[in-house]
Amino acid sequence: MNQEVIILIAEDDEGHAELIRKNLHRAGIANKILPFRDGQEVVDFLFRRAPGPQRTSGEAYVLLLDIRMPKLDGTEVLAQIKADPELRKIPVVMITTTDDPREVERCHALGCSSYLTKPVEYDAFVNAIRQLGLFLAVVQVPKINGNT
Amino acid sequence: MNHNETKPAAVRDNADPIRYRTVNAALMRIVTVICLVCALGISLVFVFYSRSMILENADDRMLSAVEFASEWLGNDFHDRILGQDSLSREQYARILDRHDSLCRRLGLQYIWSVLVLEDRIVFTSATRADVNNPASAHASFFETHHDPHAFDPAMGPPDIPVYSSFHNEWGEGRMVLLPRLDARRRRYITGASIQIGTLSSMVMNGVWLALLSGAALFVPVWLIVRRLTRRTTGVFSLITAAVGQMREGNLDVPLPASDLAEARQICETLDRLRRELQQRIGELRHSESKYRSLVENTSDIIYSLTAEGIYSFVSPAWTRLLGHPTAEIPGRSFSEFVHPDDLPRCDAFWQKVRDKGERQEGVEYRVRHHNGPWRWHTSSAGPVRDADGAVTGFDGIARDITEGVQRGEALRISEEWYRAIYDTSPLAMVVWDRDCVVRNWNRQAERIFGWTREEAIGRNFVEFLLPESARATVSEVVDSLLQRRIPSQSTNENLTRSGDRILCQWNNSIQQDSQGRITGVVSLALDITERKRMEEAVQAERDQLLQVFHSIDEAIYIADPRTHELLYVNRFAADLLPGDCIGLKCYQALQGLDAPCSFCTNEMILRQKPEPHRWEFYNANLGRHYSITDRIIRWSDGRDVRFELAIDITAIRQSQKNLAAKNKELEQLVYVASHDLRSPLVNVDGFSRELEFSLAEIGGLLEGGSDRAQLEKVLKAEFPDMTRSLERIRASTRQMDNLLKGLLKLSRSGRAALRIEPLDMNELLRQLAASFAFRIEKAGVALTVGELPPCRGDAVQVTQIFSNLIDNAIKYLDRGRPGRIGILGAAEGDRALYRVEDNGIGIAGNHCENIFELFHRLHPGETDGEGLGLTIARQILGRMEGEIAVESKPGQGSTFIVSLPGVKGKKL
Repeated sequence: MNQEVIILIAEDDEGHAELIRKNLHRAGIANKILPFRDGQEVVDFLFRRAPGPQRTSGEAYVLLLDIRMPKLDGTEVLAQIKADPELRKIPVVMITTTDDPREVERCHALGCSSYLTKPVEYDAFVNAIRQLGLFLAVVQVPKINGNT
Repeated sequence: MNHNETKPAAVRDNADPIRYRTVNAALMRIVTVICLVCALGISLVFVFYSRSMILENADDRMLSAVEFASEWLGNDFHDRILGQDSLSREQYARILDRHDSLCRRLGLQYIWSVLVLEDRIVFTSATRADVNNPASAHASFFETHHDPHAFDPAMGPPDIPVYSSFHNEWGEGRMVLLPRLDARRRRYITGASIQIGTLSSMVMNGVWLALLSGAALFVPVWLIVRRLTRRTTGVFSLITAAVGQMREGNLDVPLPASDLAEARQICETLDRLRRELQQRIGELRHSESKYRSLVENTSDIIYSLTAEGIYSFVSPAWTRLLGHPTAEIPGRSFSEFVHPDDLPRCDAFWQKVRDKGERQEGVEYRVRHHNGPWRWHTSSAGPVRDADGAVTGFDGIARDITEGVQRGEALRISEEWYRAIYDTSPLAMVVWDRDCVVRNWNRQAERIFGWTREEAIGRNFVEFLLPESARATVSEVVDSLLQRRIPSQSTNENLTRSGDRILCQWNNSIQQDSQGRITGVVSLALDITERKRMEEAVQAERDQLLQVFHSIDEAIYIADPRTHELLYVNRFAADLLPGDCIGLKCYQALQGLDAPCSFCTNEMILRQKPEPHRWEFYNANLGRHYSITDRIIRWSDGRDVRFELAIDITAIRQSQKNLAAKNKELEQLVYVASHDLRSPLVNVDGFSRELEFSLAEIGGLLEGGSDRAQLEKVLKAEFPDMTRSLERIRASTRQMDNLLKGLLKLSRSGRAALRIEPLDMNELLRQLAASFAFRIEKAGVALTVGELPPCRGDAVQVTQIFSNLIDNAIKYLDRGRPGRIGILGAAEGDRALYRVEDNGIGIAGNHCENIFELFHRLHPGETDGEGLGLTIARQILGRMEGEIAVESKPGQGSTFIVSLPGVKGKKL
């Protein structure tokens, strides 16, 4: 993966975000990471709707998205991104503690690129993030243009 | 028969004498033919005569010419031509000129002379003109007669002329040859010919002459004959013609006057005869007109038939009785009109008339009316005979007897019908007289009562049909019958022969004689024992069933689907409905409507009977949910009625609703467990491992005997991480503890016993406001509480709900402006609505539903809280038939609307 690709992590639990970041780093992913604490923040960033940080046109992004978050949950964020003709190009990886098959199916139906369950057992968690790292290393990420 | 009265004028025309000329035509024809034959004969005679005259004349002329020429030429002429001292050319020309001249004078054709030598015949002279013209008749003659045999006839004795005829292209000719011998005994022949071309025209002239002469002969003869016939045969012809006219019926024809005595006598006789005949005819005509009027006016059909059964005459009554125009009937056959079944009978009748030779009566048969129906006729007929006495036909009279026949038939049918009823009736028929003695007893009476007809007739029925108990009632019935109180009906017990008691229904009527006296009573009895028993059984069954319905604690009613009239409601339904509702319209009693319900299922169940129709219905009139089964059943009177069983499922509905809510709650709980409870665990395990990693690194350094500086460096690097890891672990355990406490709280609130009662919300909110007084004052909020309607609910739980709402309102106030919280209320229908309004930060539209979710918090970092308040509020309200909703505009404030069951009619 190109070093210029920015990894967006939407995760309300700071501990989780830190563990993900740490293990991505260990997996050799050195890209810039932007954290968001809920769904609303990441939507505001991508759609440039509210004051605060906003994406810049011509950048490439990968979004790691938790499902259960305050204000706007992950599936809604996914639905909004996939409904936008430009933003829908962003690879979205769902990272969540829920392994409810209905939830998994719904996210795939909405168009997520991958779905990752956060295992409680840390070795498995580390392994999962390492695999995510491998995925991120090989995935081709398009640049996102437009102003939405 | 009747034309002589219409034609006197025509008869007078016929009397014109000119007409009688035709009488003599035959005679005149004969005279004409005779004249023509005479003329033809005369002409033929003339033709033959003139022909022989012509031929004779021609022969004379030729012979004269030939003798003259022969003499004139002399017997040495040929030697003079052929010899030394031959004739000069001029002399020879003169000879030839003389020949020519002779021919012209005598009308001959040719004159010539030849010398017969031994080997040939030589022409010595001839008529000249034609020698030079080969195409002339002359040349042709010589060609024709060139052969030596032409002169053969003249080879006989000399000096005898030989005649012969010839035919050539110009017609018939005649030739004469005169042979002579010269001094040297040489034969020389002088000849002449004549062409009788005019012979045929002469014959034609002869014919014309004959015709003219015939005509000349005919005219005077004809005139003479005509004159003669007019005088004698003419008179008799006129008399004959007059007689012919009289024979044809023209008696007024004039008779010719004549001076012949015989003719006069004949005419006088004829005149006398004719006057007598006229008188007779007058009499006949009078009698015929009487007869005719009779025939035309009688209501019966008078007809004549030929021996072959063909109508020759029918009277006008035919049209009246059978419809056809009278004129159409003659020429048509009797059998054409008569019913095929009746034909043999009619044929037998005609045969009988023929055999007996006299008038016969009384044959009955059907004749088809012009319009189709059959009419009954009776006919009498007699034979018609010719001069020899042979039967040539029949004269008859036919009368229409249809109505009589039909009456007879109806009577017969009626009798048969009554007989059949009498014998096969399911009713016992008993006829009895004034003394109660049985006079008639039919088969069914035998069957019902067991007594045979013979046993019953003649006995008093009171003795053997009535048990003691029934005698009094029956006696009254008998009395009233004899006093003519009819119709009479009674139902009473009777005895059978075997002693059984049966229940009979009796219908009685009286019999009267011609003076109107009562002669007896006809009683019809029906054994209704069995029917009665069954009716009672059915009734008992039905009563029992309705009794069972009364004991069912669900609403059952029966209504007429056509009139909507309520026929039955069970006790349970009656208790729900106001007063006595039997006979009311179902839609009035059950739904409080003035017209049939829009959702009425009558049509459907009638269509699909006996299939039931099951449906659910909320009766707004009663405020209950029902599961309804409708079907058509048969009512006791036989009509189809609507049976409805309505099971109250209001409680089931409520519990279903509660169950659904519980399920959702449970689902949320599971979701929370799978996510929210696992989240802290991920942190606990993750950061403890991170801690392990750090400790392992430090441990490795310690064991590996690293120097202090290196150890210190690593420890300094790892220490903040380790501290943060421990903080995260502890934070996660706290988070988990909070979640578990929250779950416990939710569980408790869901299990708390509810005491639903009318609540004075004004009082409740007043107390609640008082408990918030400190926080309100601290936050600088204006709290206003309006006039609130009462509601039904659990006081503790309702207080909890409003407490949570006020707490939220205070928590999410906009720091940028003074806070205002208002609590307003209104009763809407059977609900009480309360609005908790604030002017706080508001909620974005897409978050409005999330806020009721378990542990859902919109602003986790900014405010305290467990994410439980609204979840618990909704859960509590769900248990009290209440609802909660939110209306909000971000940046302007939120309004929470709480709905609870109202308190009807009264204010607390």
